[in-house]
Amino acid sequence: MWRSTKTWRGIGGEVPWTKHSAIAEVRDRVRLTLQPFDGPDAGAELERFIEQLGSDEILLFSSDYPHWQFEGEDAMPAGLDPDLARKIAWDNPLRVYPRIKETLA
Amino acid sequence: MSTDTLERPRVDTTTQAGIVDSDIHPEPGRGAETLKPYIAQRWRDHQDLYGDPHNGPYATTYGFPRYMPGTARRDSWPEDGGLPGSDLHLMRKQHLDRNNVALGILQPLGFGALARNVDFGSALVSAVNEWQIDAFVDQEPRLRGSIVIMQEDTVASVAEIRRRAHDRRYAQVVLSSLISEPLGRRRYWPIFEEAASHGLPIGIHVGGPTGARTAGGWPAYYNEEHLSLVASIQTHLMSLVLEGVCEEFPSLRFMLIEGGIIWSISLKKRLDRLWRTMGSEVPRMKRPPSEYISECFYYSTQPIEEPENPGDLPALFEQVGWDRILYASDYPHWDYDDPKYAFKCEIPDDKMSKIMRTNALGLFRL
Repeated sequence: MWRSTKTWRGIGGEVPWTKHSAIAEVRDRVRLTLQPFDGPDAGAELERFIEQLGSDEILLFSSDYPHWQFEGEDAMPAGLDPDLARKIAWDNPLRVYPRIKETLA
Repeated sequence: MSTDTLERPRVDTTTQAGIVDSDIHPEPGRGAETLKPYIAQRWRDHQDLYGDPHNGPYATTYGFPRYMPGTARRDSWPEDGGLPGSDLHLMRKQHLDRNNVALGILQPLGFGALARNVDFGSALVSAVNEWQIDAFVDQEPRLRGSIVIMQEDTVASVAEIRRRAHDRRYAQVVLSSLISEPLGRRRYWPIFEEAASHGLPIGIHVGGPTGARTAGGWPAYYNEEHLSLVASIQTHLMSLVLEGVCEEFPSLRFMLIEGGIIWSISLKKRLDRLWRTMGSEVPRMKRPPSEYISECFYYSTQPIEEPENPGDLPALFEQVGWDRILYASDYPHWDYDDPKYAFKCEIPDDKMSKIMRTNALGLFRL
Protein backbone atom coordinates (compact mmCIF):
# COMPACT_ATOMS: atom_id res chain seq x y z
CA MET A 1 0.00 0.00 0.00
CA TRP A 2 2.87 2.33 0.75
CA ARG A 3 4.42 1.62 -2.63
CA SER A 4 1.13 1.96 -4.47
CA THR A 5 0.41 5.28 -2.80
CA LYS A 6 3.91 6.56 -3.51
CA THR A 7 3.66 5.57 -7.19
CA TRP A 8 0.24 7.19 -7.43
CA ARG A 9 1.65 10.43 -6.06
CA GLY A 10 4.03 10.41 -9.02
CA ILE A 11 1.89 9.12 -11.88
CA GLY A 12 -1.69 9.33 -10.61
CA GLY A 13 -2.38 11.62 -13.55
CA GLU A 14 -2.58 8.45 -15.67
CA VAL A 15 -5.74 7.47 -13.75
CA PRO A 16 -7.28 10.88 -12.98
CA TRP A 17 -10.58 9.39 -11.79
CA THR A 18 -8.87 8.00 -8.68
CA LYS A 19 -9.54 10.62 -6.01
CA HIS A 20 -7.99 8.85 -3.04
CA SER A 21 -4.76 6.98 -2.34
CA ALA A 22 -4.70 3.19 -2.18
CA ILE A 23 -4.15 3.44 1.57
CA ALA A 24 -7.29 5.56 2.02
CA GLU A 25 -9.36 3.26 -0.21
CA VAL A 26 -8.28 0.13 1.64
CA ARG A 27 -9.14 1.64 5.01
CA ASP A 28 -12.48 2.76 3.66
CA ARG A 29 -13.71 -0.32 1.86
CA VAL A 30 -11.35 -3.31 1.86
CA ARG A 31 -11.52 -5.91 4.63
CA LEU A 32 -9.07 -8.74 5.28
CA THR A 33 -9.63 -12.11 6.95
CA LEU A 34 -7.20 -12.86 9.72
CA GLN A 35 -6.07 -16.47 9.29
CA PRO A 36 -3.30 -17.40 8.57
CA PHE A 37 -1.83 -14.36 10.28
CA ASP A 38 1.50 -13.23 8.73
CA GLY A 39 2.02 -10.29 11.07
CA PRO A 40 4.58 -9.99 13.86
CA ASP A 41 4.49 -12.03 17.05
CA ALA A 42 3.08 -10.50 20.23
CA GLY A 43 4.99 -7.49 21.43
CA ALA A 44 6.05 -4.05 20.28
CA GLU A 45 6.26 -5.05 16.60
CA LEU A 46 2.69 -6.35 16.64
CA GLU A 47 1.44 -3.17 18.31
CA ARG A 48 3.23 -1.03 15.74
CA PHE A 49 1.87 -3.20 12.91
CA ILE A 50 -1.69 -2.67 14.14
CA GLU A 51 -1.05 1.07 14.32
CA GLN A 52 0.30 1.02 10.77
CA LEU A 53 -2.93 -0.54 9.53
CA GLY A 54 -4.41 2.79 10.60
CA SER A 55 -7.84 1.36 11.24
CA ASP A 56 -9.31 -1.11 13.70
CA GLU A 57 -12.04 -2.04 11.21
CA ILE A 58 -9.95 -3.79 8.54
CA LEU A 59 -9.45 -7.23 10.10
CA LEU A 60 -12.18 -9.91 10.42
CA PHE A 61 -11.79 -13.16 12.34
CA SER A 62 -11.64 -16.31 10.21
CA SER A 63 -10.88 -19.97 10.96
CA ASP A 64 -10.47 -21.59 7.52
CA TYR A 65 -12.40 -24.65 8.82
CA PRO A 66 -12.24 -27.43 7.62
CA HIS A 67 -8.98 -26.86 5.78
CA TRP A 68 -5.70 -28.20 7.06
CA GLN A 69 -4.54 -24.77 8.15
CA PHE A 70 -7.35 -24.64 10.72
CA GLU A 71 -5.99 -23.49 14.07
CA GLY A 72 -9.14 -23.11 16.15
CA GLU A 73 -8.94 -20.23 18.56
CA ASP A 74 -5.21 -19.92 17.89
CA ALA A 75 -6.15 -18.10 14.69
CA MET A 76 -6.44 -14.98 16.87
CA PRO A 77 -2.88 -13.67 17.32
CA ALA A 78 -1.64 -13.63 20.89
CA GLY A 79 -1.05 -10.25 22.43
CA LEU A 80 -3.82 -8.30 20.75
CA ASP A 81 -5.51 -5.56 22.70
CA PRO A 82 -8.80 -7.07 24.04
CA ASP A 83 -10.88 -4.25 22.56
CA LEU A 84 -9.34 -4.83 19.14
CA ALA A 85 -9.81 -8.59 19.46
CA ARG A 86 -13.49 -8.03 20.13
CA LYS A 87 -13.78 -5.78 17.08
CA ILE A 88 -12.05 -8.37 14.90
CA ALA A 89 -14.20 -11.23 16.17
CA TRP A 90 -17.55 -9.46 16.47
CA ASP A 91 -18.07 -5.80 15.54
CA ASN A 92 -16.22 -5.79 12.23
CA PRO A 93 -17.99 -8.82 10.73
CA LEU A 94 -21.33 -7.31 11.74
CA ARG A 95 -20.50 -4.09 9.92
CA VAL A 96 -19.39 -5.89 6.76
CA TYR A 97 -22.30 -8.36 6.71
CA PRO A 98 -25.30 -6.47 8.08
CA ARG A 99 -27.69 -9.33 7.29
CA ILE A 100 -26.15 -11.58 9.93
CA LYS A 101 -27.58 -9.22 12.54
CA GLU A 102 -31.01 -10.58 11.66
CA THR A 103 -29.96 -14.02 12.87
CA LEU A 104 -28.56 -12.61 16.06
CA ALA A 105 -31.64 -10.54 16.82
CA MET B 1 -0.46 11.22 1.85
CA SER B 2 2.68 12.55 3.46
CA THR B 3 2.98 16.31 3.47
CA ASP B 4 6.36 16.51 5.18
CA THR B 5 8.77 18.88 3.52
CA LEU B 6 12.42 18.25 4.14
CA GLU B 7 14.50 21.32 4.79
CA ARG B 8 17.88 19.64 4.71
CA PRO B 9 19.45 16.51 3.28
CA ARG B 10 19.12 13.43 5.48
CA VAL B 11 22.23 11.79 4.08
CA ASP B 12 25.54 13.54 3.77
CA THR B 13 27.03 12.22 0.52
CA THR B 14 30.04 14.48 0.70
CA THR B 15 32.11 12.11 2.80
CA GLN B 16 35.39 11.40 1.13
CA ALA B 17 34.64 7.71 0.65
CA GLY B 18 31.56 8.30 -1.49
CA ILE B 19 28.54 6.08 -2.02
CA VAL B 20 27.80 3.00 -4.13
CA ASP B 21 24.77 3.07 -6.43
CA SER B 22 23.57 -0.40 -7.39
CA ASP B 23 21.13 0.58 -10.15
CA ILE B 24 22.09 3.02 -12.92
CA HIS B 25 20.55 2.60 -16.37
CA PRO B 26 22.80 3.22 -19.36
CA GLU B 27 21.00 3.53 -22.66
CA PRO B 28 22.28 3.21 -26.24
CA GLY B 29 21.83 6.76 -27.52
CA ARG B 30 20.14 5.72 -30.75
CA GLY B 31 18.68 2.47 -29.50
CA ALA B 32 19.32 -0.65 -31.58
CA GLU B 33 21.27 1.38 -34.16
CA THR B 34 23.92 2.10 -31.55
CA LEU B 35 24.43 -1.62 -30.99
CA LYS B 36 24.81 -2.54 -34.66
CA PRO B 37 28.61 -2.33 -34.74
CA TYR B 38 28.64 -5.01 -32.02
CA ILE B 39 26.61 -7.65 -33.88
CA ALA B 40 27.52 -9.82 -36.86
CA GLN B 41 26.43 -8.80 -40.36
CA ARG B 42 24.01 -11.72 -40.39
CA TRP B 43 22.09 -10.15 -37.47
CA ARG B 44 22.34 -6.59 -38.84
CA ASP B 45 20.62 -7.86 -41.96
CA HIS B 46 18.08 -9.67 -39.82
CA GLN B 47 17.36 -6.53 -37.81
CA ASP B 48 16.93 -4.43 -40.95
CA LEU B 49 14.54 -6.97 -42.42
CA TYR B 50 12.53 -8.06 -39.38
CA GLY B 51 13.02 -5.25 -36.84
CA ASP B 52 13.16 -5.28 -33.06
CA PRO B 53 13.03 -8.84 -31.68
CA HIS B 54 10.89 -8.06 -28.64
CA ASN B 55 7.43 -9.51 -28.65
CA GLY B 56 5.65 -6.77 -26.73
CA PRO B 57 2.37 -5.48 -28.17
CA TYR B 58 3.75 -2.21 -29.55
CA ALA B 59 6.62 -1.53 -31.94
CA THR B 60 7.91 1.65 -30.33
CA THR B 61 6.86 1.61 -26.69
CA TYR B 62 6.26 -0.67 -23.73
CA GLY B 63 3.24 -2.89 -23.20
CA PHE B 64 2.28 -0.40 -20.52
CA PRO B 65 3.18 3.02 -21.95
CA ARG B 66 4.94 5.09 -19.33
CA TYR B 67 3.44 8.27 -17.99
CA MET B 68 6.88 9.79 -18.55
CA PRO B 69 8.61 9.77 -21.98
CA GLY B 70 11.40 7.20 -21.91
CA THR B 71 10.40 6.38 -18.29
CA ALA B 72 12.86 9.16 -17.57
CA ARG B 73 13.36 12.37 -15.63
CA ARG B 74 12.40 15.22 -17.91
CA ASP B 75 15.78 16.88 -17.33
CA SER B 76 17.75 13.76 -18.30
CA TRP B 77 17.28 14.06 -22.09
CA PRO B 78 20.70 14.91 -23.57
CA GLU B 79 21.02 17.94 -25.83
CA ASP B 80 22.38 15.76 -28.64
CA GLY B 81 18.96 14.17 -29.07
CA GLY B 82 19.97 10.79 -27.65
CA LEU B 83 17.98 8.80 -25.11
CA PRO B 84 18.15 9.48 -21.34
CA GLY B 85 21.03 7.55 -19.81
CA SER B 86 23.09 7.67 -23.02
CA ASP B 87 25.18 10.75 -22.23
CA LEU B 88 28.00 10.00 -19.79
CA HIS B 89 28.77 13.69 -19.26
CA LEU B 90 25.19 14.35 -18.21
CA MET B 91 25.22 11.26 -15.98
CA ARG B 92 28.33 12.62 -14.25
CA LYS B 93 26.88 16.08 -13.88
CA GLN B 94 23.41 15.05 -12.68
CA HIS B 95 24.35 12.11 -10.52
CA LEU B 96 27.91 10.76 -10.20
CA ASP B 97 29.61 14.07 -9.37
CA ARG B 98 26.64 15.70 -7.71
CA ASN B 99 26.13 12.85 -5.25
CA ASN B 100 29.74 11.73 -4.78
CA VAL B 101 29.07 8.31 -6.28
CA ALA B 102 32.26 6.30 -5.82
CA LEU B 103 30.97 3.26 -7.70
CA GLY B 104 27.87 2.65 -9.81
CA ILE B 105 26.55 -0.65 -11.15
CA LEU B 106 25.12 -0.39 -14.67
CA GLN B 107 21.90 -2.25 -15.39
CA PRO B 108 21.26 -2.23 -19.14
CA LEU B 109 17.60 -2.98 -19.81
CA GLY B 110 15.57 -4.24 -22.67
CA PHE B 111 17.88 -5.36 -25.46
CA GLY B 112 17.86 -8.99 -26.46
CA ALA B 113 17.19 -10.63 -23.11
CA LEU B 114 13.46 -10.99 -23.79
CA ALA B 115 13.52 -11.84 -27.49
CA ARG B 116 11.57 -14.89 -28.60
CA ASN B 117 14.25 -15.44 -31.24
CA VAL B 118 16.85 -16.67 -28.79
CA ASP B 119 19.72 -16.61 -31.30
CA PHE B 120 19.11 -12.97 -32.15
CA GLY B 121 18.60 -12.29 -28.44
CA SER B 122 21.91 -13.89 -27.54
CA ALA B 123 23.67 -11.81 -30.20
CA LEU B 124 22.10 -8.65 -28.79
CA VAL B 125 22.90 -9.29 -25.13
CA SER B 126 26.48 -9.99 -26.09
CA ALA B 127 26.50 -6.69 -27.99
CA VAL B 128 25.08 -4.89 -24.94
CA ASN B 129 27.78 -6.42 -22.79
CA GLU B 130 30.53 -5.06 -25.02
CA TRP B 131 28.85 -1.71 -25.69
CA GLN B 132 28.38 -0.83 -21.98
CA ILE B 133 32.11 -1.35 -21.42
CA ASP B 134 33.12 0.75 -24.44
CA ALA B 135 30.62 3.56 -23.89
CA PHE B 136 30.67 3.78 -20.10
CA VAL B 137 32.97 1.59 -18.00
CA ASP B 138 36.16 2.25 -19.99
CA GLN B 139 35.34 5.96 -20.06
CA GLU B 140 34.43 6.26 -16.39
CA PRO B 141 36.33 4.34 -13.72
CA ARG B 142 33.48 4.79 -11.24
CA LEU B 143 31.18 2.51 -13.26
CA ARG B 144 30.91 -1.29 -13.43
CA GLY B 145 29.00 -3.35 -15.96
CA SER B 146 26.52 -6.22 -15.64
CA ILE B 147 26.65 -9.39 -17.72
CA VAL B 148 23.26 -9.44 -19.43
CA ILE B 149 22.17 -12.94 -20.49
CA MET B 150 19.51 -14.43 -22.76
CA GLN B 151 18.26 -16.62 -19.93
CA GLU B 152 15.87 -18.73 -22.04
CA ASP B 153 18.88 -20.18 -23.88
CA THR B 154 20.81 -21.77 -21.05
CA VAL B 155 23.73 -22.94 -23.18
CA ALA B 156 24.26 -19.46 -24.64
CA SER B 157 23.87 -17.87 -21.20
CA VAL B 158 26.51 -20.10 -19.66
CA ALA B 159 28.87 -19.32 -22.55
CA GLU B 160 28.27 -15.58 -22.17
CA ILE B 161 28.96 -15.69 -18.43
CA ARG B 162 32.09 -17.81 -18.98
CA ARG B 163 33.33 -15.41 -21.66
CA ARG B 164 33.17 -12.37 -19.37
CA ALA B 165 33.34 -13.66 -15.80
CA HIS B 166 37.07 -13.07 -15.41
CA ASP B 167 36.76 -9.45 -16.55
CA ARG B 168 36.64 -7.39 -13.35
CA ARG B 169 34.78 -4.61 -15.15
CA TYR B 170 31.59 -6.66 -14.68
CA ALA B 171 30.07 -6.82 -11.20
CA GLN B 172 27.21 -9.29 -11.65
CA VAL B 173 25.00 -11.31 -13.99
CA VAL B 174 21.64 -9.62 -14.54
CA LEU B 175 18.26 -10.62 -15.93
CA SER B 176 14.73 -9.21 -15.94
CA SER B 177 11.91 -10.45 -13.72
CA LEU B 178 9.33 -11.03 -16.46
CA ILE B 179 10.74 -14.20 -18.00
CA SER B 180 9.29 -17.53 -19.14
CA GLU B 181 9.22 -19.41 -15.85
CA PRO B 182 9.98 -18.89 -12.16
CA LEU B 183 13.74 -18.88 -11.80
CA GLY B 184 14.01 -21.92 -9.57
CA ARG B 185 13.04 -24.24 -12.45
CA ARG B 186 15.78 -26.73 -13.36
CA ARG B 187 16.30 -25.31 -16.85
CA TYR B 188 17.97 -22.25 -15.30
CA TRP B 189 20.30 -24.15 -12.94
CA PRO B 190 23.31 -24.29 -15.29
CA ILE B 191 23.26 -20.47 -15.21
CA PHE B 192 23.42 -20.52 -11.42
CA GLU B 193 26.19 -23.11 -11.40
CA GLU B 194 28.28 -21.00 -13.78
CA ALA B 195 27.70 -17.74 -11.90
CA ALA B 196 28.42 -19.38 -8.55
CA SER B 197 31.67 -20.87 -9.85
CA HIS B 198 32.91 -17.32 -10.56
CA GLY B 199 31.52 -15.76 -7.39
CA LEU B 200 29.20 -13.55 -9.44
CA PRO B 201 25.88 -12.49 -7.88
CA ILE B 202 22.69 -12.70 -9.94
CA GLY B 203 20.76 -9.43 -10.21
CA ILE B 204 17.04 -9.69 -10.91
CA HIS B 205 15.67 -6.37 -12.14
CA VAL B 206 11.92 -5.76 -12.33
CA GLY B 207 10.33 -5.57 -15.74
CA GLY B 208 10.70 -6.71 -19.31
CA PRO B 209 8.68 -5.97 -22.43
CA THR B 210 6.81 -9.26 -22.28
CA GLY B 211 5.81 -11.80 -19.67
CA ALA B 212 2.78 -12.07 -17.42
CA ARG B 213 2.37 -9.09 -15.09
CA THR B 214 0.00 -10.70 -12.62
CA ALA B 215 -1.42 -14.10 -11.77
CA GLY B 216 -4.89 -12.63 -12.27
CA GLY B 217 -4.59 -11.35 -15.83
CA TRP B 218 -3.33 -8.26 -17.55
CA PRO B 219 -3.84 -4.90 -15.82
CA ALA B 220 -4.76 -1.76 -17.73
CA TYR B 221 -2.43 0.94 -16.45
CA TYR B 222 1.20 1.68 -15.66
CA ASN B 223 0.07 2.54 -12.13
CA GLU B 224 -0.94 -1.11 -11.76
CA GLU B 225 2.04 -2.54 -13.58
CA HIS B 226 4.51 -0.60 -11.44
CA LEU B 227 3.10 -2.37 -8.38
CA SER B 228 2.57 -5.78 -9.99
CA LEU B 229 6.30 -6.02 -10.73
CA VAL B 230 6.85 -6.53 -7.00
CA ALA B 231 4.95 -9.82 -7.26
CA SER B 232 7.23 -10.96 -10.09
CA ILE B 233 10.22 -10.52 -7.79
CA GLN B 234 8.46 -12.40 -4.96
CA THR B 235 7.69 -15.23 -7.38
CA HIS B 236 11.38 -15.70 -8.21
CA LEU B 237 12.45 -15.49 -4.58
CA MET B 238 9.97 -18.20 -3.55
CA SER B 239 10.86 -20.40 -6.51
CA LEU B 240 14.61 -20.14 -5.90
CA VAL B 241 14.18 -21.12 -2.26
CA LEU B 242 11.51 -23.81 -2.62
CA GLU B 243 13.02 -25.51 -5.69
CA GLY B 244 16.25 -25.88 -3.77
CA VAL B 245 18.53 -23.49 -5.68
CA CYS B 246 19.75 -21.85 -2.48
CA GLU B 247 20.48 -25.26 -0.96
CA GLU B 248 22.27 -26.52 -4.09
CA PHE B 249 24.36 -23.36 -4.61
CA PRO B 250 24.97 -22.10 -1.07
CA SER B 251 27.49 -19.46 -2.13
CA LEU B 252 25.21 -17.90 -4.77
CA ARG B 253 23.72 -14.50 -3.93
CA PHE B 254 20.73 -12.76 -5.51
CA MET B 255 20.18 -9.03 -5.73
CA LEU B 256 16.49 -8.09 -6.07
CA ILE B 257 16.42 -4.77 -7.89
CA GLU B 258 13.59 -2.26 -7.69
CA GLY B 259 11.19 -4.81 -6.25
CA GLY B 260 10.76 -3.49 -2.72
CA ILE B 261 12.14 -4.69 0.61
CA ILE B 262 9.68 -4.70 3.50
CA TRP B 263 7.37 -7.38 2.11
CA SER B 264 10.11 -9.92 2.75
CA ILE B 265 9.32 -9.77 6.49
CA SER B 266 5.82 -11.23 6.21
CA LEU B 267 6.75 -13.50 3.29
CA LYS B 268 9.46 -15.16 5.38
CA LYS B 269 7.01 -15.66 8.21
CA ARG B 270 4.39 -17.24 5.99
CA LEU B 271 6.83 -19.49 4.13
CA ASP B 272 8.20 -20.76 7.45
CA ARG B 273 4.70 -21.49 8.62
CA LEU B 274 3.94 -23.49 5.48
CA TRP B 275 7.27 -25.29 5.68
CA ARG B 276 6.60 -26.45 9.24
CA THR B 277 3.54 -28.37 8.10
CA MET B 278 4.30 -29.10 4.43
CA GLY B 279 8.09 -29.19 4.30
CA SER B 280 7.97 -32.82 3.15
CA GLU B 281 6.67 -31.61 -0.22
CA VAL B 282 9.93 -29.73 -0.86
CA PRO B 283 12.64 -31.99 0.60
CA ARG B 284 15.44 -30.24 -1.30
CA MET B 285 15.12 -27.49 1.31
CA LYS B 286 16.92 -28.60 4.46
CA ARG B 287 16.23 -25.54 6.59
CA PRO B 288 13.36 -23.08 7.16
CA PRO B 289 12.83 -20.84 4.09
CA SER B 290 13.56 -17.71 6.09
CA GLU B 291 17.13 -18.87 6.70
CA TYR B 292 17.85 -19.18 2.97
CA ILE B 293 16.20 -15.82 2.30
CA SER B 294 18.22 -14.11 5.02
CA GLU B 295 21.46 -15.54 3.65
CA CYS B 296 21.04 -15.48 -0.12
CA PHE B 297 19.02 -12.37 -0.98
CA TYR B 298 19.75 -8.66 -1.06
CA TYR B 299 17.43 -5.78 -1.89
CA SER B 300 17.98 -2.46 -3.62
CA THR B 301 16.33 0.55 -2.01
CA GLN B 302 14.74 2.42 -4.90
CA PRO B 303 11.86 3.18 -4.92
CA ILE B 304 12.31 3.34 -1.18
CA GLU B 305 9.21 2.40 0.76
CA GLU B 306 7.59 5.37 2.46
CA PRO B 307 5.61 4.48 5.57
CA GLU B 308 2.99 7.07 6.49
CA ASN B 309 5.05 7.62 9.60
CA PRO B 310 8.56 7.91 8.08
CA GLY B 311 10.05 6.96 11.44
CA ASP B 312 8.69 3.42 11.02
CA LEU B 313 11.30 2.58 8.40
CA PRO B 314 14.31 1.79 10.63
CA ALA B 315 12.42 -0.80 12.72
CA LEU B 316 11.29 -2.53 9.53
CA PHE B 317 14.82 -2.48 8.08
CA GLU B 318 15.99 -3.97 11.35
CA GLN B 319 13.69 -6.95 10.74
CA VAL B 320 14.91 -7.32 7.14
CA GLY B 321 18.55 -7.00 8.22
CA TRP B 322 20.71 -3.90 7.75
CA ASP B 323 23.29 -5.95 5.85
CA ARG B 324 20.72 -6.90 3.18
CA ILE B 325 19.84 -3.44 1.85
CA LEU B 326 21.76 -1.56 -0.86
CA TYR B 327 21.19 1.99 -2.02
CA ALA B 328 20.08 2.43 -5.64
CA SER B 329 19.15 5.59 -7.55
CA ASP B 330 17.53 4.22 -10.75
CA TYR B 331 19.06 7.16 -12.65
CA PRO B 332 17.82 8.46 -15.11
CA HIS B 333 14.30 7.15 -14.53
CA TRP B 334 11.45 9.33 -13.33
CA ASP B 335 11.22 7.65 -9.94
CA TYR B 336 14.91 8.31 -9.26
CA ASP B 337 15.84 8.32 -5.57
CA ASP B 338 18.18 11.17 -4.68
CA PRO B 339 20.54 9.75 -2.04
CA LYS B 340 20.33 12.93 -0.01
CA TYR B 341 16.55 13.01 0.28
CA ALA B 342 15.24 9.48 -0.38
CA PHE B 343 15.25 8.43 3.26
CA LYS B 344 12.72 10.55 5.08
CA CYS B 345 13.74 9.49 8.56
CA GLU B 346 16.79 9.48 10.78
CA ILE B 347 18.96 6.39 10.28
CA PRO B 348 22.04 5.93 12.49
CA ASP B 349 25.33 6.62 10.69
CA ASP B 350 26.68 3.09 11.07
CA LYS B 351 23.51 1.63 9.52
CA MET B 352 23.43 4.25 6.78
CA SER B 353 26.99 3.56 5.73
CA LYS B 354 26.07 -0.11 5.25
CA ILE B 355 23.20 0.83 2.94
CA MET B 356 25.11 3.53 1.08
CA ARG B 357 28.41 1.73 0.67
CA THR B 358 29.71 -1.30 2.51
CA ASN B 359 26.92 -3.78 1.74
CA ALA B 360 27.46 -3.25 -1.99
CA LEU B 361 31.24 -3.48 -1.70
CA GLY B 362 30.81 -6.88 -0.05
CA LEU B 363 28.16 -8.29 -2.38
CA PHE B 364 29.83 -7.20 -5.61
CA ARG B 365 33.35 -7.87 -4.26
CA LEU B 366 34.43 -4.37 -5.30
